[in-house]
Amino acid sequence: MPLVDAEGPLTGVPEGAGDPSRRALDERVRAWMAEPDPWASAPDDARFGALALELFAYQFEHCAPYRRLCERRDRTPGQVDRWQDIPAVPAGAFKELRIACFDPSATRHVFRTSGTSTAHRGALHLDTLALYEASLVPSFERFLLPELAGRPGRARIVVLAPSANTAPDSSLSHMFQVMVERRGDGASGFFMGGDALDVDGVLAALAEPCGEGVPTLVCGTAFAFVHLLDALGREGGAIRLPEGARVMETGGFKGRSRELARDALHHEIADGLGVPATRIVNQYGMTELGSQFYDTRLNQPESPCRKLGPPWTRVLLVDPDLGTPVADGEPGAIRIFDLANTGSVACLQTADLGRRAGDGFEVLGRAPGAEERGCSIAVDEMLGG
Amino acid sequence: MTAGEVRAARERLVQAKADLPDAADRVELLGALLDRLRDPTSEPHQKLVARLPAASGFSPEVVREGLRLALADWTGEALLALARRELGPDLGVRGARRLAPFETVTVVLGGALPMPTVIEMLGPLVVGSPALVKPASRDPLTARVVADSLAEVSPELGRAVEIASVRSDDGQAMAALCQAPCVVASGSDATMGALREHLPATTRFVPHGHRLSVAVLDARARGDALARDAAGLATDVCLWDQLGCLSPAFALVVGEPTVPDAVWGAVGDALDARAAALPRGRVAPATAAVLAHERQEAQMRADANADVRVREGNDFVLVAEADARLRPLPGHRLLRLLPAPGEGELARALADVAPHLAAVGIAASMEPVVRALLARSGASRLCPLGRMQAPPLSWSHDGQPVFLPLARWVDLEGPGAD
Repeated sequence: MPLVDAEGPLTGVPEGAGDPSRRALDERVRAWMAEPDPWASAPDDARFGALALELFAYQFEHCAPYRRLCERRDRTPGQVDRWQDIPAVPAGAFKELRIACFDPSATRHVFRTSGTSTAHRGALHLDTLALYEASLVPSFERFLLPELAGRPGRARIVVLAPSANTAPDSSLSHMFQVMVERRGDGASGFFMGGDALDVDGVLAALAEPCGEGVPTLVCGTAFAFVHLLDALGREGGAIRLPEGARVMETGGFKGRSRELARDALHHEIADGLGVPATRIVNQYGMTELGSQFYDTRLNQPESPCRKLGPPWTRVLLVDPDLGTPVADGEPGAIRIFDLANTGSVACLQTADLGRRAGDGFEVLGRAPGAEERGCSIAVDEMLGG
Repeated sequence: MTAGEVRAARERLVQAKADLPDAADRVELLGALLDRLRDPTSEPHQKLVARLPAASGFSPEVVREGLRLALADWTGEALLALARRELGPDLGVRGARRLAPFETVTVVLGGALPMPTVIEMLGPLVVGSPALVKPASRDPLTARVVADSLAEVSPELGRAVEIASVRSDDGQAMAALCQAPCVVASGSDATMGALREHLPATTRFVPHGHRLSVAVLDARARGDALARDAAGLATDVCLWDQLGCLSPAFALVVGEPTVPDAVWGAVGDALDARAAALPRGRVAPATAAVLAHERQEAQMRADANADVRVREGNDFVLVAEADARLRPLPGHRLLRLLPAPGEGELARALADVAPHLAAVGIAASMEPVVRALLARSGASRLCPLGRMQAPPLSWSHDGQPVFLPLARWVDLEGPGAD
């Protein structure tokens, strides 16, 4: 049995965006998200650019820390006429400052980044979950359940993460909760409470026969998969996922399990769960963002794997020092523009390194064990933040 | 190197043990090696200065000055004094207790700073055990230079060291490497944990996990005293690009609620000057992304809070924080100054890092009461600013003796015990 049963739909929560100009922006972005197939047309740069510039002007006016950053960089709405030139907020600022375009009293929900009690956690303040949920659904379906996208149907969704009820400040749990409620069948559910994995529950949920045409998806954090694999190894258990099953993993390890390079993790998942590596998808997401990016393995299996997001996002790879785009093929710091972030700031500068790959990008993570040349411990590693 | 080659190397070491010079001669010869490494005109020293920058990524200036400063007091005389202090005046005979060296010791090196390699390779030999040495992937050079120099100083000692260039992901070769009665290893806590899991329970394991160090400045210092402290701190930061366990990861400024302008200016100016003389080494793109992100994030806070300041200089970033909370410290000369108005704040700031603390570099004018508090902080070394990168040979790394963890003793009772 799942550790926590899903209770009630999370969608349809009251709207909090009270400002008429903001509401109008929200409605336009949401209309894009609600199209039957938002990916149907070629990337619509004009539509994206127009919305991005309007949103920039709104956020410049309503978010004081962002306004100061723009003014320092001499990039104010009057000076910027391309979305590519909109200033980016460093993602770490969400740990330190309230990056929001509305009064604190209008806050409906706060998602926080993971971390220990001593680490300061980043916070995304939301006055509405509507846009957040509207953004996550089409991407999740397109990249993980492509056979269901735009059609009715259910999937067996086995989640190796706590439910939203157990972890209300986890954006990842919220995303899974929305999808389990929207697309999960009766045996779908959450099999983690805190850091404790319900291995028997996972095995039982996967053993329960699926209905005709119901795909199986096992999804969760990378460290939860390591816990599952280690538990199976200790107990001599094995899982053979059914034909057509797929896996989605996300996030790092943060000292919660042994650490593996992403390729090695996928290799172990493939061996341990009996699923081809070509059906294992990594999701790149951040608490501070309303949208997520996925490997294209399932929806474009014939093309080289890369990360793509929904059409209301853009990714630039920039020189870390200059902030200017790097040449194709060169590594650059990942900068994300996400129109789903209407209530905070749409343009985020991450500390992650990536590289352009066709119409998408790849994340160039540092392999675990590839230590710096020194012998000093990193404080963020020490604090588990 | 394959598992078979590792086993063959260990066999050779077992043979070499029989030919090792006696303790007194051994320590004298090892002292001669240290004197040779320290001499800037010697071949091994010049080899390190010439080749370590390319191998490790540190700038030539940092390697040259880092070696000069660190090795200055690592003399043959200091080695003998330390060996006598730990092993007894007769180097292994203490009444009825005799040193019984392990047949071989495996040394797994980490990082790219040369000094730990030197002391970790010499340790087994001081206590009379041949050493099978796995060089650090980031520094394949220093272990080889030390081994070659040993052979020149003494062929018998040279035969008692074998370099095992084993890939960490070669499970069989790593297992063969760890088939030793004693294993010394340096690296991250995760690496140490993984190694420990693979060692038999009977193996003596001497891990040196990653550590960090902290500098403590006096918020009320002014004039020449402040300039000297700032210059010392700048040297400590610039040497080894703030990546060593003795590098100050951050500096606490004790005695005022915010970082005073005078301290802010003095540290920035000192870093400017020192970084010009000691250029920063290579910065990997992933690290550059983190550094830029931290700088931008600090600047954004600075725009909102006058107590936060950012100064980007020649190969460094200096951030004055408004509080003593720990934030990401990526090294590579991103130095945060954290205000600690009183002893309580200082103690709280150090508590978070206490389990990982190696050294504390202290301003010359710091009050005795603060020094006493720092002595209880968990650090294994307190030293003046400017000396953090020059630990004495006798420094009790991790609070332990240098050679004793590698030693095994036998107590003799009954006839012949005296």
